[in-house]
Amino acid sequence: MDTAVGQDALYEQAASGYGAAIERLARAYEPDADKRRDLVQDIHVAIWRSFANFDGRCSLRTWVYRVAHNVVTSQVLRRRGKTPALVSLDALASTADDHDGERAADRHLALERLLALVQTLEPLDRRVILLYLEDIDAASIGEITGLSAGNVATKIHRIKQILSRRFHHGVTHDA
Amino acid sequence: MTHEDLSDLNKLWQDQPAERLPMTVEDIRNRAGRLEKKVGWRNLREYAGAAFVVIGCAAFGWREKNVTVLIGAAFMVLGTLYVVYHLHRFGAVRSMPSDLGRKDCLDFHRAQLVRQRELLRGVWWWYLMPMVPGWALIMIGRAIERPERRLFALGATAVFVVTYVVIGKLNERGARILQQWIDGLDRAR
Repeated sequence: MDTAVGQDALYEQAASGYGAAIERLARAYEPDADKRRDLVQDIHVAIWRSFANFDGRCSLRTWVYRVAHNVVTSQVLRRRGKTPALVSLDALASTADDHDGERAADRHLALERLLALVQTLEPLDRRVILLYLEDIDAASIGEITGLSAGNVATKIHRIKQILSRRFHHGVTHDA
Repeated sequence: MTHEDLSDLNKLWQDQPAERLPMTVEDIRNRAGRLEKKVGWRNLREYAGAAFVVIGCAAFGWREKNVTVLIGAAFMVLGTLYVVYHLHRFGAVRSMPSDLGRKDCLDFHRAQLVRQRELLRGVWWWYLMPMVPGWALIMIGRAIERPERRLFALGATAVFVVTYVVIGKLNERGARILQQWIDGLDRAR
């Protein structure tokens, strides 16, 4: 197959399969709508370019998530110092939730709180929670992030603890 | 309906409304082209800045009769060219690396931090020291030529040295902070 055609075909496959996940990833890092749109487009360009080197040694999904998270990482590094203080999962697990008494019954409110929680996390932990929320299995999270299986398991355990504590009233669905 | 199951949160996350920006392959190619052009302009601006310094030094040395000062000006030009070359070669990320998908996030993040740390750590060798020979020769040349202004040359050299030490120390501090981040990533693995 012609390389350029293969690159375009792979990109189209990736964009249709993971386009929405890329937007959610951007939302977790960039609150400003215009900058977020730029970030999403930068990720798409990087994914398209990267397919010139795709060798099939990992799945398309792993490749796409790696590229997307790496683009975001490099942008976060560029604006180092302009971001608010971030916390680790461990620190978050040991602090009290400001909203403990508040019921996260409304879907919109729950989503806002979930997003706010994700945005306070350090990049390393943020990657894990984002992949967890996308239903990526632990082995793939390790493959994407570079964390050991043991570390991924520990972090997911922490994430579940934090989410369970902060959203223990559950989420009310409209339907 | 209320659910206790955490998987509801995953569903909530995944169900959030998406804009799904329409991006065709053609759009992507156009944007990639625009990004390349942006990088090209940025490079051109840097070359223009370097050319400005070189022309300035050449103009300064053109009518200079003092050979020591003249050689100093030539060293300043060489020093500037070296700094620009180093910044261009190892400095800011020009465009996204093409191997983004081959590296896991920790490897990629670490490589970026190491690159920045090396740039800060080596600031003495690629940014500060290349200017020293030129500066020293100009000062020595002037001091020989006009002995009555030696005190001025000494004062200017003191300011030069203090500025350099402050820049060097600040960069070393930055490199130490980056090293802590790198150590943190290594521990996280």
